[in-house]
Amino acid sequence: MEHILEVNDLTMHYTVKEGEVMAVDDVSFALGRGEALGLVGESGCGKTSVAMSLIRLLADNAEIQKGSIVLDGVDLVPLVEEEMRTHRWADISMVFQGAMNAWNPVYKVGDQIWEAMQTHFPLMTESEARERIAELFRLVGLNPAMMDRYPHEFSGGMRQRAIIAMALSCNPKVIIADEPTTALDVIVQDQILKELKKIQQELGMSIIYISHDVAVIAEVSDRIGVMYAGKLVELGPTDEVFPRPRHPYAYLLLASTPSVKGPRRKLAPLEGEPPNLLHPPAGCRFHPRCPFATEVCATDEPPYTEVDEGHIVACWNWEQVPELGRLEA
Amino acid sequence: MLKFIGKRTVQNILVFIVFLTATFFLLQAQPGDITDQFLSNPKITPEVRQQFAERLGLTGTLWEQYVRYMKNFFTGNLGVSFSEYPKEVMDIIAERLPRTLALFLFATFLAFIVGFKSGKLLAWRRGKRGEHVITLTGVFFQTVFYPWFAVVMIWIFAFFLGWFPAGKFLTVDKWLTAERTFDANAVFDRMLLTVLAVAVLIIAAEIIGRRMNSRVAGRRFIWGTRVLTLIALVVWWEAVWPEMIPFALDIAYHLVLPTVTLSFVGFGGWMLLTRASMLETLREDYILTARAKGLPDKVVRDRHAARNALLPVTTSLVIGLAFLIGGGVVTETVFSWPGMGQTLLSAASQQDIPLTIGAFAFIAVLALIAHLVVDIMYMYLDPRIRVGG
Repeated sequence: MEHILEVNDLTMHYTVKEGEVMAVDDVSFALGRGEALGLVGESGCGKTSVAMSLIRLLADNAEIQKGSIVLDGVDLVPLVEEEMRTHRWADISMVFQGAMNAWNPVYKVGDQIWEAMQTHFPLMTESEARERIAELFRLVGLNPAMMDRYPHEFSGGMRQRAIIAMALSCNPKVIIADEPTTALDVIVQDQILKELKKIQQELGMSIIYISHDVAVIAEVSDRIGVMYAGKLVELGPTDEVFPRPRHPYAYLLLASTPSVKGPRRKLAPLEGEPPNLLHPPAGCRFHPRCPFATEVCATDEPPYTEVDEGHIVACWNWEQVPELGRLEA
Repeated sequence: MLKFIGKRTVQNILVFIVFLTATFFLLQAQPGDITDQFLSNPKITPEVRQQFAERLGLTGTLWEQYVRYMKNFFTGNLGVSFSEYPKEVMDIIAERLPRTLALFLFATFLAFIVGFKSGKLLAWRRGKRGEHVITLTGVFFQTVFYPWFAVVMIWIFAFFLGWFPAGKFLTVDKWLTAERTFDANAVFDRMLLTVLAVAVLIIAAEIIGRRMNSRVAGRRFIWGTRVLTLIALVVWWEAVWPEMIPFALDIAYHLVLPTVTLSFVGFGGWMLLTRASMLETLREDYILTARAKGLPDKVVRDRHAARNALLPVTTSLVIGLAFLIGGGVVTETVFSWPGMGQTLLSAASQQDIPLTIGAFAFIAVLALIAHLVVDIMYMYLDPRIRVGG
């Protein structure tokens, strides 16, 4: 498959008073044209840091130390801010988490979408823009008349739909959906996910989903990447990783999540918390919490092993990881 | 919208009646009355004093006096000043209110604009060079003892550098020696009307310009109107009131130092408030959205961050206005500015009850109107409170 986005050895650090926080460490993945890739992991494991590095909206104390982000042949890492600005939204846009505050309360929703289009397509007239926004609103299941309303007149689900419409407005090559449904109730969440998936398939969009919710990711992604403590620990097709995770962390993450549709299985708790990235554990970062850890895990970083075609895992003992539901609790 | 204004106006009238009543009784609670100053005069017998008191309406029970005063007040009769007898209170206020109003409106406007813009930049450039110095300057102006600061300003700019007059409303010699057919109030009223006309034109141009489809055309329209208004202003004065120009300039020259001093004091507060408000706004998600959309930094700063940071700052504009009116007494005393503040002080200390209540009443009306204006402005600025009213 042709790649629209290639991320190679991306490393991003935050500098704080106590030292360096390695939020993203040597992360590499590629996104095919029209593909949906899901990134999953607990809070604080670097998912959002990856997203923010991709669109290069990092805090002042953050720095991309090495690696490249090649979007349709252009490496975004060395670009100066003004050049990067022209790529944002036009080439890579975002569906933000928490639809609540993603809208500026003092402007009409339609105007906020128009603003993005005006920036990237200065020649577009207002009537053309309104037509395009109406079309987008219909696509995401909103009444086009709503474009002249203010954000506070929208419900949570409607706001999220409008956010999706805004993300699509400039025909970006890649969309990053960062916790697109987290702030919504389960029913609306399901509607929005279905809608997103439908739109993605209709328009052949390349999209990166980011969520802590395994069920969400499993529903919408073609491939899954599991992140832990700033590292990508497993990456493979959804229908391989989901039923048969190879990394102990992925395994425990899935085993601790009940599945409604799949076969009944015993739940296993995932104990402890992700490590403090100021002083990550040596060797494999998961070894202090890992039931399969051996001596080598505490000293050496595990390399990626290709367990199947297009399915890689960073673990010394991946062969020990049993099938889901077989773990003795 | 109209319903809201109507409701607030009725509320304000009620508040005003309560205020007037309280002021009336508080002033009556002072011991004695204005005729006490004749006590030491042997030529004025107690009988004559009694006659004075009767003619000034100081006899009868308190309640009778109150009812009489309120009746007169609401039929437009504010009475005659005791201390500047026999001038009508209304005439004194009509003469001095515009001077106070001009001073404070200019100063507030200047302080607000400069304070808001610098507070905005200060928050935006947080952690950059110069931040501490500017913030400390703001804290200095915010906390400085105002009468002392005013005197220091006079010392530097009037005495030491000699750039501006040390006080007063006009240069007395110039007005006395010149041949003229008009008085200072006529000139000053015309100046105020000019400023009002200019302000209305510029604001109208701003609103129309912002609604225009193309931003470039809108900006051209706004600047064109500004330039044309200034030209029209000069042409109008040259054509219609040419003999007044030097005198108008004289008054304007006297206005500079008090306005600047007053705005310095206001500026610190606005800047610090805007800075805090803006720092809060910059952490909002919609700022991230705006940046992700690839908007230029200036647009993110002005259209998204500053526009929202303006909301809490506007709220406190009300409090600021109240302070400015109260601070008027100090300013006008230090700068010998013959406005309402000075009038109020001298009237109150001489037990000139009609003039004191009259002055208080007009200050109250101004404060209430300012509140209403800020409320309406707020409704315009924040769509979330527009519905319902």
